[in-house]
Amino acid sequence: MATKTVSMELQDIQGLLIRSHKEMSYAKYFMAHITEQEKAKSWLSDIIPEITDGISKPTDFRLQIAFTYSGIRKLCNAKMFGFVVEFEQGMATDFRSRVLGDLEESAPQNWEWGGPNNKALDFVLMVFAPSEQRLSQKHEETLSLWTQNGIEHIISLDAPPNPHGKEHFGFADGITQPVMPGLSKSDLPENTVSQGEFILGYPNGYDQLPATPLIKEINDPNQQLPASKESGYRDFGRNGSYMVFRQLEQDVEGFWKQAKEGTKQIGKEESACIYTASKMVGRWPNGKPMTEDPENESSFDPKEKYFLYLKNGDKAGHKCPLGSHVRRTNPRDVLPDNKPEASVEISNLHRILRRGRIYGPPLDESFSAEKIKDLPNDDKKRGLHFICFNANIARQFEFIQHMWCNNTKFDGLYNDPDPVLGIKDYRDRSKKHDFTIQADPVRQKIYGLTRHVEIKGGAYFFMPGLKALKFLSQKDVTN
Amino acid sequence: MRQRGLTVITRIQADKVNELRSLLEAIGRDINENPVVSFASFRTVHFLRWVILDETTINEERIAAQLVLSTNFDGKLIPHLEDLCSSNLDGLFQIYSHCEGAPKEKFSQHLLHYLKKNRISIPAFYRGTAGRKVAQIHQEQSLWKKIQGLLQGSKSENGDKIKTKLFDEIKKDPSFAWAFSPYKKEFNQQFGGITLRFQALAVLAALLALIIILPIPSYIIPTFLFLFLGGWWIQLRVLEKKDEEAFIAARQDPSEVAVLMKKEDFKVQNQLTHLVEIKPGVIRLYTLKFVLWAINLLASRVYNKGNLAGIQSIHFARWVIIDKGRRLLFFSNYDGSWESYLGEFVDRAAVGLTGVWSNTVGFPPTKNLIRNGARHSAEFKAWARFKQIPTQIWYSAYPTSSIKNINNNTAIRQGLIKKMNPEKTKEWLQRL
Repeated sequence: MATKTVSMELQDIQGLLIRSHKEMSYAKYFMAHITEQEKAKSWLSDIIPEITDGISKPTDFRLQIAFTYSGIRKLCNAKMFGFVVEFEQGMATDFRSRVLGDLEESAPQNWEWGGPNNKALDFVLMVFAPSEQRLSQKHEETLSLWTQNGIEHIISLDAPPNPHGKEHFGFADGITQPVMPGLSKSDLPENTVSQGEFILGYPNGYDQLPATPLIKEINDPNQQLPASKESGYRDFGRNGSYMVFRQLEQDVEGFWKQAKEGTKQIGKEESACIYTASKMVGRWPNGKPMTEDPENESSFDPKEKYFLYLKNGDKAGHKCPLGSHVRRTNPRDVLPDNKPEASVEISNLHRILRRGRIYGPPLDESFSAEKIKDLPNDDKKRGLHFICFNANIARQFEFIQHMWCNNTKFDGLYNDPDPVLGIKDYRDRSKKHDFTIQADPVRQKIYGLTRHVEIKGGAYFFMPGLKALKFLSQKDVTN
Repeated sequence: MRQRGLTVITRIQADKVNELRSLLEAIGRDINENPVVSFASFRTVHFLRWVILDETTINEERIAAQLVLSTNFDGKLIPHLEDLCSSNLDGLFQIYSHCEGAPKEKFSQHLLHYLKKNRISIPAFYRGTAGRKVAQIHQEQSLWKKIQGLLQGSKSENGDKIKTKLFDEIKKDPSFAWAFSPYKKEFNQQFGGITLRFQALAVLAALLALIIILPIPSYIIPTFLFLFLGGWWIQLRVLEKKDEEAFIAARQDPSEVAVLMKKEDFKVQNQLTHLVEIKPGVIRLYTLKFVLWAINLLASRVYNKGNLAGIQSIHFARWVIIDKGRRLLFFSNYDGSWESYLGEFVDRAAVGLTGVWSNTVGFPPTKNLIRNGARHSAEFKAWARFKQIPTQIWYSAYPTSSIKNINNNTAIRQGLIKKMNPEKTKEWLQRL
């Protein structure tokens, strides 16, 4: 399927959808609760000029904003039609807890934000700055404006610089990102994914326009929103996107303990635990794909990020195990039951734009797995603020998490969840899980996987286009 | 052994619908421990469900509330009905006491006749685990488990040695004696495709012979066929155009979807009950019947190895036409989530399901019966949810097994006793 290219309205799209603001080393996410509609609207109206669009690259700081369903309801009295059901229902429902694996310690009841026991979350303001000083300045300024404007501050989450581009277990992260056609950066066809998979108003992987929230024409008397194909409606969703935000806390010592234990189980010396952990991840700590070098962490050529499984003769998983994290989250050409080209095409119907950042100090400044693997946890919290964009939460983010990561039956396996996330099967919680390393003459198995990534908070947001933001900030959207 | 489907549809007494609903809901909430039906004592059942179809009005005609029983079972009908009625006489009697015409006295033979009398035919039926009895599926799973145990902590050796050792160890265990009697696939699993092609050729040849032999000019039959099919196609296109103009996309109501989600994703498998009105007129009804006939033919002859045109996640599925051709009911038992199931439909089997559902109300616009339709992915999914109805009772005899597990287990069992060259042994070991 050829991906269609439509010229994008970058001036109306929030910048984070186009770039990850890497030049801005520091980020902070301010979560808020709206108490007074009118005042909140006036704050929003004042801040809109500062919201970064898809063209400009300001150097002092960059600002993005996204709303939960309750936030949108608070700012807009008129009914909106056509949000995806997942967004309206929110992340913290019993069904989603099963699907996402947010159970026991990770259950929404125990969350620090976004859960039923926390203050209702209405929006998040995301600030990216080149220095800590700029960031805290903006933070103070914003909080004081909020108190005057009927907005309650819930929590602010920090994301410090990450010069090594690694996550806390010590592995390179964020290597493969889908690329939308029509932007300055282009990519190989197999990694080029339709604009409408991430941004509403453009053709998606089925060459159709994704479902978009609409509002009745009479509720937009000044015609601030773009016209809709459906007569009688205006399009609130155009140039917007759904943003998934989850705070994943990592138990680094626990992860490496498990890797060591697993290494013994497969009959190797404990010191080979980097090998075992890399089999679980599907890449070596430096990002080298298992398919490219299944035995050693040799140097990683960035071009190797385009690796394929079938093409590398790894259908059986002898190089990169079937159940490894990267093989599950993006099966590329090896999706079960498909020819390679069809597999890439179907895999690309389940992609996400990742914009997450790590939080907390690393166990070792070097982020080197070699060092981290033997260190005990300290008293600091650390993990990943997982952030991603998609146009259809159920078909993209939730599908990956549910059918690929958490599914113990993935690709014909029996009892193997994603070994890095280690989420227990909600279908039988007393059950212990395995990690299988396919090999000749017969597979090796690691028994008794445990979980080392817990959820501390999360929500589904909608990041509107700038016109839609102006519409929300307008005073008279009532009737 | 052949697996079959049973669908029984009975009218519920008007004043007892809610009572029945609470009874079924209570059983459904606790499949394993409820005091009414002991599902574990069924010997012939793979999957079973009871669903209430609420009272409704179609074209100003009232259709009373009905209870549907749907099972997938081993063997012949009568032994299955006997299994149902004798193993759980009290429970079934209690359930059916809410329905019209149910036996007044609690005799298993009476109940059996009642169910048999209200049985309806299944025009399209799909099996993903064709040929295997429930007991066999359980046995082969236990064999897999046994092998896992034997492999744990075993030293690395060459492939042939590993296989011989497994064979010897299992041979020692009398509880696995069954594994040493060979299991044969169904005839149609091996030869269904070939015989189907021959039959198609035979039909064509017969037609040709007819054209030649009959004492009428040879152009008559082809012309007649051409006009008939052409006329049919034109009528269908006219209807499709009209439908396209009138199409309004279904809007999902999050609270209604939430009711369905509440029951989803507790097992490896999920279920779908989907009820929709058939579009009016004979063209639509007979087109639908023809498509179902064709799907059924392909399902029994070609797609009988756990792979339906690339979809390897369906255990059993069926379409039945009810209410004198007014409504189409679809039941499915599948692995994984609703989203992935419907997604696979769209990505891999859009043609087949568009062919069926384009004849029903509210389906996204189609072209030439099988084009577009379900490829309108978002509209199709919204419609599918919109027409899905809650299933009060749903039972699976092996809730932790995926289709792939079941089919792989059978291949392990078949391979265990087979003499193999080193290359084949290598392949077999990859299944473990």
